[in-house]
Amino acid sequence: MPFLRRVSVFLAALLLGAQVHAADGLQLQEQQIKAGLLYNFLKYTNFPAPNFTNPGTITVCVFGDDPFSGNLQPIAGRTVNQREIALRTIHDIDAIANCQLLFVNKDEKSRWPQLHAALAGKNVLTVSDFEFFAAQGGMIEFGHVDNHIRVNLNMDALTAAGLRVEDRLLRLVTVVHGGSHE
Amino acid sequence: MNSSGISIRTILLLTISALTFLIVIFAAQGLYVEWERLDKITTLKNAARLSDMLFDANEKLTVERDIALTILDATDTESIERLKPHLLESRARADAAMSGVLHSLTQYDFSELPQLQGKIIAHLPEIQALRRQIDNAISSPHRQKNPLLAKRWYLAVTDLSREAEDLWLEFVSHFSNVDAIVTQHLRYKHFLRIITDSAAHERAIIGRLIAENADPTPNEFADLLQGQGIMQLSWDTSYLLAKQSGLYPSIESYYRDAKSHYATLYDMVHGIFYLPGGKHATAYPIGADTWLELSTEAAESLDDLKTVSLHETREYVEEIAAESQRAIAVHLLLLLFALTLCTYSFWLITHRVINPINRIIAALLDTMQQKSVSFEPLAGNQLEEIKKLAQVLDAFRKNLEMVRGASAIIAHNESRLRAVVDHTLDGLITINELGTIESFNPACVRIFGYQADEAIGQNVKMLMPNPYHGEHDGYLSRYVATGSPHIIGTAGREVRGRRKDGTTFPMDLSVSAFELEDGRHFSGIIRDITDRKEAEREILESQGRYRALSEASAQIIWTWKAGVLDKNSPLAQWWENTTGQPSEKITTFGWLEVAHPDDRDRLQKIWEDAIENKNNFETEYRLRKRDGNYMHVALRAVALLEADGSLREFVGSLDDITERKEAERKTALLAAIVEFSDDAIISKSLDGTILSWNSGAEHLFGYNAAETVGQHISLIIPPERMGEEREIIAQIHAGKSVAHFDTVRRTKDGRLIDISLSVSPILDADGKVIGASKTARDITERKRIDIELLRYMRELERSNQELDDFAYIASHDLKEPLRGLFNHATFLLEDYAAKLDEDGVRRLNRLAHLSQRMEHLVNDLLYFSRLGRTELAIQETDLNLIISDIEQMMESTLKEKNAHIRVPQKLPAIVCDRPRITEVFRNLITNAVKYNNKTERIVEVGYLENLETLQGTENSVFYIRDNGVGIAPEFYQEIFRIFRRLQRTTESKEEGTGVGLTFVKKIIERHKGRIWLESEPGQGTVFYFTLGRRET
Repeated sequence: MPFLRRVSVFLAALLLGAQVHAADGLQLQEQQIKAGLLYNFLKYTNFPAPNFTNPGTITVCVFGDDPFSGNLQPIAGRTVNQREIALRTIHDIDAIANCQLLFVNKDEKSRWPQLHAALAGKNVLTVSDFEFFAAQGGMIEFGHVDNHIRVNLNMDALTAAGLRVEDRLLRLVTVVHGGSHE
Repeated sequence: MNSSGISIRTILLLTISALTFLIVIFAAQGLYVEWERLDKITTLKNAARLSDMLFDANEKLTVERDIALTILDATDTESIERLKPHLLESRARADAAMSGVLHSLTQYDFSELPQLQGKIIAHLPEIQALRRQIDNAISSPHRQKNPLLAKRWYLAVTDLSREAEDLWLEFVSHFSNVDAIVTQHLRYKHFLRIITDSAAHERAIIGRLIAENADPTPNEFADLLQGQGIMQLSWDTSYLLAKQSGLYPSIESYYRDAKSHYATLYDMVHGIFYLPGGKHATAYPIGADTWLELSTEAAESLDDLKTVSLHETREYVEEIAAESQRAIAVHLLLLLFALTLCTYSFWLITHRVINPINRIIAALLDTMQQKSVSFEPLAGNQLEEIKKLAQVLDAFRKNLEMVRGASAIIAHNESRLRAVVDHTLDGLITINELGTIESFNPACVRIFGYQADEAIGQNVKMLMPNPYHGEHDGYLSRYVATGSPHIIGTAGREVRGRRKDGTTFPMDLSVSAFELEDGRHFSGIIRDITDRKEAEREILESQGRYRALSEASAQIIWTWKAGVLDKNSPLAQWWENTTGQPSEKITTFGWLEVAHPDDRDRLQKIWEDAIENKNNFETEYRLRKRDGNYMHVALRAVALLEADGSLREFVGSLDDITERKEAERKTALLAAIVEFSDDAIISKSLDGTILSWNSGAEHLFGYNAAETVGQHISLIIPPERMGEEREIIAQIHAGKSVAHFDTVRRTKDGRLIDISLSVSPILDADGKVIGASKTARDITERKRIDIELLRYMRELERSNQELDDFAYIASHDLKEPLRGLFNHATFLLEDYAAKLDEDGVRRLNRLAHLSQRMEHLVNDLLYFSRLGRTELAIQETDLNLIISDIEQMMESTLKEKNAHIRVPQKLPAIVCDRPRITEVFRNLITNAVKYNNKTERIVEVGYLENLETLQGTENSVFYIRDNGVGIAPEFYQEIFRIFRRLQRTTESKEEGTGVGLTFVKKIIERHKGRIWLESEPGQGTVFYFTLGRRET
């Protein structure tokens, strides 16, 4: 990461951090961690190649507003599995194209079913942090357990979307709905 | 040629050797360098491998370290339980890696390694001990945090790592000069290792903080920041190093992945741990295990990078090792190639340059030695330059051969010309404008008599007789001035030349002029034509003779030239006279008209052929005479050709052969007579070779003609009779025939037969004896008759003898009365002459005379009979004595008659009856004197060893020649008859009884001789006789 950016983030964080109370701090930390975990998901998920219009790029789409307060931004341009990460924010369902990973803003959970339907047959990894996301067909759901971030993985939905994950990822997640319950 | 100098080959050899040597040196040097490098790279490779293993081990160790630390710091059982497997796993991995390293260390043979090994091994016991302690600590139920243990553990592992790393760096630094790239690789990896280390440190700290749910202390905070700083620096430095060493492109994606991962990891926790005031009062949002997991995953990304980098480095090293090996191989190949090239160059130049050159040199030598050698084969399949050289040399050779050939031809021509000039029979002389003789060939020497050195340099006028002598200079200068040749003379001017001895001779002179670079010269061809002149004169004479001969010849000599006839020629004249045909007919084919019709066609063919092919020919034909009768003629012709081979004329003869034809016919008739005669008629040559053998001979002797003709007559003569043959031959030689003598011959079947043989000489036209003709008749019958005859003959002989005796007795008895008569007649005359008348006296005289004559006759008769009866008293007789006796005896008569006896040469001594032979000579001489009417009567008595007679050659012939009255041929036989006389002698007073020659003949015959005579009436006579007995 460019040093200047970091500094600016650092300073912003400093400025902002002072105003944010602990809950926000936690939220921020959570956001940071979630954002970082998306990288891991990208790394350890096997996306079928034909879906890639641009094989050298892997696209992370955020449906809805940015829930990471810009903390996801840094991963744009980084590489994972020798592919460059591209970051997009989309608000329309029709605009879902060439997304490998789709993070759904919890605010959009109402639109999830529609989204879900639109994603049928596409090899898109869906991630969100609203409750029952996984039950509704979402693949990776961020949850909480004892104030720890918990990652739930819907293996069926994953498999249905034609995706596979490596065992390494399984160490970080709890498989739900079909996978072995850790 | 001797190679005393340095050859190309030597220089080539030296050069190539030097080159080879240099190449070898350089290659060897390069090889050595490369080999060393390869060696070092190999070492480096091994070192790199070792380095990686060491890093790996170090890393694993670090991981184990951090996990252990985390466990030690963990308070809740769940975390501990979760971490235990990780710890065990990491421990196992660390051990495996470490043992791998230690194992590898034994494989390599570096001097520093034992030290390295020692250092590592030294730490191990402590590590093991601490491990056990950790195990104890975490498995103990009453667990208490043992920060000391953690610290000790941390230090131990870190120390080990650091030491190993330092030692390794030192070790690697040796190789920095081997390959800078590799060094950079290693340095780059070093920074990765630093990242690993720092990450691990971070992992440990944060892990512990999460596990303790504690805030970082300022130290820890500082550590974390430091760590991040170091990590960041390391990322950048390693990036630079990778870029610098060219490693980056290969590892870019991995690098970015690793860096991205670490960045993301940092992002996940920086807000928590890296921001002051970022601490969280309550639990961290992730658990320690999650953190470890995340950190480990990030470490794995770095691991991937490291693996790739390792691989790249290895590949690179392999590459440079391979490169070095390739370089070595290339050097070797180059070396080999260079050596091969050198060898090949040497061979090539030797084979393609030096050898061809040597071959060319050899060929040149051969060419110089006049051997004909083509350079063409040397040009084939050679280098361009050699080819050209060979081709050019070949052209030179051809040129040279041409020149040589031309020189040879010139030399040959020159020698030929010289030979011609020297050997020509014509004199060849050249002079210059002043008339000085420049050349004088051998023919000139012969013609003029001057030697060449006497003539050359002199003026040519010395070869001319005086009239021309002074004029020649004038001729020459006029010719030179005017160029007009006729002044000197053109070809064929006849002049006279003068020899050295002063004599002149006619010569043919042809003169021509020619220019040389030194001026004008003249050449003359001189021929001494004395002979030719002579020949010309002879030809004229000969022509005259020929003409005369033609006219005198009984043959018609004719010349025939087509269309040309001399009407006055003998041929023309004769033709018209004989045939009545106009002589023009001869010129063409008209003469055939007077040939016999049967002969005409044949003649025409012959004549046409002769004219066309210019052949000579001979033929016979019948020519019609003017009176219509035919005469046989023999026609001969010889074609005379011009110089160009064309027909000039025919010359020939025409003979009247009518007689010959008749003779031939007669001969044929005679031959037939001979052939069919019953008698055996055999002809033989003088040497006894049988020439002909008729059927009678075949019948008589049993041989046929083929068996006998060509054989010797002795074929049929029994050996005991060979003597006869010789005698016969002798007779035949003398031209005498041998008539009917009986002999014995032998037939084919060996039988002896009695034959009567007549042999006559065969005379040629000149009367020369050329052979004998023998007629043989079987006389067996006759023999019988002969025996009868013999009986009769004996009877006859007896009666003859009786007669002889009677004659003797009678004559003897007669003598007495005769004497008595004579005496009485004489007495009567003496006594009674006076009483008688003239007539009576005359009668008495006559009576006396007659009785005397009668007595003489009786005496002669007696003598004659005695001659036939008495033995010859053979004794050696000197004839010269006899002649001189006779001379003495006849002295008075000789004187009276003016006769001389000449004995030209001494007569031989012979064996004979002396008195009788004396009588012979006396008789003959007396006759010679008597029958002579010349003033001087010459009698020549002589002896001829050989005398040619009509009968052949007679040997030992005596002769008495006189110049008397001669005897006519018709009386040659008569004169030998008893009591015959040809004429009375000139002095009729003397009378002979006419028995002289008879006696002579008888005596001679008793001596087995022969007497004959030759006489020329009025000139003289020669009596010849042989005595048949050999002289002593």
